[in-house]
Amino acid sequence: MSSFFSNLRDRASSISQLFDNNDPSKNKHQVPKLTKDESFLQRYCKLPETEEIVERINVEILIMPEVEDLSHSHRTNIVYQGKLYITNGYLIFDDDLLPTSKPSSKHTYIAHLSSIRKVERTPLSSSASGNSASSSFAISLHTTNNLKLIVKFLSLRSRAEQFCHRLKGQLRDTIANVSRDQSTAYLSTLYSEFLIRKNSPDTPEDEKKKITVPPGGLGLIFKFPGDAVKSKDKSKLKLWYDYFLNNGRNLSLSQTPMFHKLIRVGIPNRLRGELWLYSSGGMFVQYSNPDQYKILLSVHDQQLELNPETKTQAIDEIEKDLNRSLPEYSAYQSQEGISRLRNVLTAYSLHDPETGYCQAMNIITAALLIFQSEEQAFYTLSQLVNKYVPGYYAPSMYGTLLDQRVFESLVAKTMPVLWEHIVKFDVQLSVVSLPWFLSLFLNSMPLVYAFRVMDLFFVYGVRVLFQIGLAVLRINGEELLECVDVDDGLFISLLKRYFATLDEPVNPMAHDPKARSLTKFQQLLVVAFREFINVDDAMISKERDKYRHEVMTNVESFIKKSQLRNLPRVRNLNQEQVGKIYDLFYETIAEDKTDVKSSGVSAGTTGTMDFATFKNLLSKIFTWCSYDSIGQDEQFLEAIFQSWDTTNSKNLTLSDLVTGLDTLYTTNLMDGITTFFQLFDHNNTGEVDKETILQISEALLYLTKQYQDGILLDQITQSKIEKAVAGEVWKSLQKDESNINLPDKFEIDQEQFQQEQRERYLTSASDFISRCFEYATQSTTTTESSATDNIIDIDDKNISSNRALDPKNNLSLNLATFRMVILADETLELFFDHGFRSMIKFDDITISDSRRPSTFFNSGNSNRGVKDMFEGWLADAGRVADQVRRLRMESQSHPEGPPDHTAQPHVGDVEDDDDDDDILVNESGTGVEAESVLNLMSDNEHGSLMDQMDLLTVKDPNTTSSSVTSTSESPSNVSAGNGISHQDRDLIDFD
Amino acid sequence: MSVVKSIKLVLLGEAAVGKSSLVLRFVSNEFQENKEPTIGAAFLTQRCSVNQTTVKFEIWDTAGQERFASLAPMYYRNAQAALVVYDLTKPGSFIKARHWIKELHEQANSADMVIFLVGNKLDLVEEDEEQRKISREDGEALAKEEGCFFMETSAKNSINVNDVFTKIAEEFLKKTHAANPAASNNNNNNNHDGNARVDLNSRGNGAQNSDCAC
Repeated sequence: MSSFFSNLRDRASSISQLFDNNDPSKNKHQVPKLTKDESFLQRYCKLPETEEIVERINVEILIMPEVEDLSHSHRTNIVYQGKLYITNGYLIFDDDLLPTSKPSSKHTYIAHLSSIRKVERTPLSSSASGNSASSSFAISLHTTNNLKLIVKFLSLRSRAEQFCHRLKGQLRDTIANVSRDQSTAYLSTLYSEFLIRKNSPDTPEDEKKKITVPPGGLGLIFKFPGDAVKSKDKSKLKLWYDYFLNNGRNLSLSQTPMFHKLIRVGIPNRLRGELWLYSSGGMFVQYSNPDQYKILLSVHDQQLELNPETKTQAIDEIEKDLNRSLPEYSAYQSQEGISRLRNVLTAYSLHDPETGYCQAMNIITAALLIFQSEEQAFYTLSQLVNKYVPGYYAPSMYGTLLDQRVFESLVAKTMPVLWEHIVKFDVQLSVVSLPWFLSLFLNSMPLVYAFRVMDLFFVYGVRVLFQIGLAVLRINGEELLECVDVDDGLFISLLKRYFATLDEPVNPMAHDPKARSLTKFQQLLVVAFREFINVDDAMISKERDKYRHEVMTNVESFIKKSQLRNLPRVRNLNQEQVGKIYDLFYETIAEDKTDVKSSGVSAGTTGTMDFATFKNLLSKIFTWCSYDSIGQDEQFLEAIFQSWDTTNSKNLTLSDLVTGLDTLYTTNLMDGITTFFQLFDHNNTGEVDKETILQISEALLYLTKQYQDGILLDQITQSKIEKAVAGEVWKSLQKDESNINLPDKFEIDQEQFQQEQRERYLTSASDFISRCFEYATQSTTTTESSATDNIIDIDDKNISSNRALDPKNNLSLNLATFRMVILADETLELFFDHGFRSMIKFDDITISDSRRPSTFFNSGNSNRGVKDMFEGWLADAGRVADQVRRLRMESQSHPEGPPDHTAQPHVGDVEDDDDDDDILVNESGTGVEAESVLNLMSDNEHGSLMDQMDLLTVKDPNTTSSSVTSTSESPSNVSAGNGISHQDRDLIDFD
Repeated sequence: MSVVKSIKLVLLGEAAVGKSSLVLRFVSNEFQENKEPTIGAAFLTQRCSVNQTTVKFEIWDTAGQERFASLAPMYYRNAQAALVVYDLTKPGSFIKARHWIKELHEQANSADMVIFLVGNKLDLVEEDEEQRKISREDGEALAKEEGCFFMETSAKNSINVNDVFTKIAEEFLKKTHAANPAASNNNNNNNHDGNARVDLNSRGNGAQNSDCAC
């Protein structure tokens, strides 16, 4: 057993097995594939996502300095063949070599259109020769950094003309969009421009003195780490100077094989910052978005000034690590260094709040800031986090986990013997390799070598990390194999020692002085890029695709488990329901996000929802939310939102949501009333004023809308209908005692029942206000003593002269009185006892809209529910039989006729609860008709149904005898009867 | 040379509570004011002597930031001891400590594990009692509730640090002594996830071959 992943996989195998290839949940983990063009522009050229190819054509190109330096007259001008592209902002040439084969042998030119100074037709000169196809023509382009490009079109003349026309148009647009000043200002921030001007023979001497070094990294102040002499920084800088003169720089740069050579030998310290910015593509983003960084920081400063408490979690975490980022480098023991680090990390966390801040980003940013200005570091970091290693620093770190899995798989492929060894001795490979990837070797290798790795990483991408990681294992493989009893610790200390000696020669005893001088680091690069040349982007992305789903699923289920474990205790909800709320919470957040960066782990990451998302979520679980919610709901929902928002952050966490729903889902009547009252008691004073009383009554009207419209029938109506139906049957029975024939049709006036119910609810609501006003305490201003209010007479309807209606009076209603008012009204009491809870549906939650949230609300025909119920009733012989039996027995004991059952007290809350569960459990066994009845009947109806169960005779399939039960049956038998009665309804025996 | 027993110990706790500092104090009796955050995990070893037995600690020091939590199972897997650390001046870190203990109980073979709850940064509290946000009683109560050991420490001023590790070693030896006579117990220990990495019987052998420690 090798790894954490296989371990997790085993544990989660049961889950994985549930997914087949067609499962949509698998698709959600798929990364949207870039088109070939997008991949070329974004991955290869590192251009911003906004760039699109508008024109392309086959050409031969010659790129040379405008004025040939005499000292370089020996240079040979090479003509390259390939494609020339125009995008919205750039001109790109790419030779015909496949980019995957060997990137370092390719020739690519990328220029921002604003750097093209002049375009003219040119006669086909001998210098641009090759074959002399007469049909086409050539143009020459001159750039602001004094390059001359001669482009010979290889296509038909008309195509070439079209291309030129398009180029002209794009250039014109660019001139309109990018001012000269703007680009001059930008170029003045770049070291390459400084280098050229300072050293060019064209610059007058007195002007040279005035040229100042552009702002750059901390290294300019605090010295760069390492030995500049040893790393031959000066001569490297000279090489780059020549390169820039001949091939352009920054916004118009031709990448030849020489460029790649210069990168491989290590970038000189002074140019490193700019070249990281350039090769990461950060430069292109910065050029088109130059103020982004400044704006982020200034907005942040303003916010802090307004409210110093608005610090995000990321900012707290950043603060903890500021003093612990490359602390050995002197700049990070100074205010200057710390403040730059703080600024960049803060700006990034604001720019990408989803990622925020992840440890290791501090180390990387600290490294960037040694060579780059704050702004350059910001843009480079953005590219790194989003483009180079997506998901590495995400809250779930799925990218890190995925690439560790991929790394293991590559080790297994390329070094099977070592891998076997690792597996055999159960070494956690990712334990050693994870920090390599997450901190780009910065906390494994000596800094100077880690910087060299970064030089390569920014040009060639994440494959560099894989190649070097594999090379480290290959080089140390023998030694690792020699250890018999390998364990993780030994593994780590062995590699630690290796990294510490990277500057040492591989063969100090070699005869050949060249071989003797080869350092371990040089050897590492050779092994990485020779032996693992096949480890390219295509292979990595194929491997990632292979493991993505598995890793994501594991991460998601891990996060879910640990989040659920850490939620506050719930009293009324069960774990399954909490799990459903968890899913719903994150799914709703994801749904409401328009700029979804897919590919990520949606669940368990950024865990807050604002009011709009909250509303969306509630509409999935509260039946009244999805029903006829025109505006009225806002106030009530806001009240809920506010009272659950414990941190007053205008955002709810999962914990807020679960705790809130848990209190709402109470089974206790008194708790329910209290919770409801507290929703409106914003300041926790224990009292609400007149305005709020009106709000409460509106909320009650809103919440009971479905009852008012007769879509739900409450227990009182239910009893009435049951009675009426049974009455009908009873009538028919009396006509013909021998046979129970269910009448084909009932003459029951649905509308009448609905109307009655509607009136009852409206009356309740209006009574509610009257009573509240009547019994509310008057505060200070009144002259009359409130003592009289203590005499409470619920039935006193004489409220016409209610002094509370006088606007001059201030009222306050406390909880006790509120409770009393609710309990005084049977309809409202029922609502709080059952109705409210029954309107919270966790069990029907499905995210696809098909069944949301309950079977009958979205049916369009609001009466369907009631109709179904009647039909169900008819089909359910047992049910009718219950009623009839009951009537029969009652007629024996009360000859005057069936008594009124609506007045009967219903069964206690706790028992009702159990009944609910039984019904759910048995639902499947009751057949379609019964199911529809059960669906129709909200929980409160079950209560009255159960009341009557004790009148049943139930025939157990295992016993032949049946017994007549009576109303005096013991409670234990009653509950037993409940359990079976639904399943075995057909067996009910009329004796 | 006496018998050497290896014990795998994992440190868990919120970021910047002083996990790495506790280890550094124990392993090299040093203290660094600004220690780099641990990325993923760090590994260190230290030996200490308890009742004529040498215990070799293999210490896995983990990253504290919340988002690294999904990596933690890699490190506490097969651990025989866990040090759950919080900062006496940070209430949030105490909540996090409770979560870690819960996770260990749920996910790891906690029955065989010595779990030690540690409230660190006692130095700050001794300097200024106002700084204390978690009372000793609260710490003790949590430890009692979860069945683990408890101490307040200062990695900076070297208070109780060695005592914590010594106590862990003692408890570990008690458990292994109890487990050793019945050899079959080993199988039970290892069944946890099918990875028979911790094999108490082979430890003697391992110790003879491995002299890589500290």
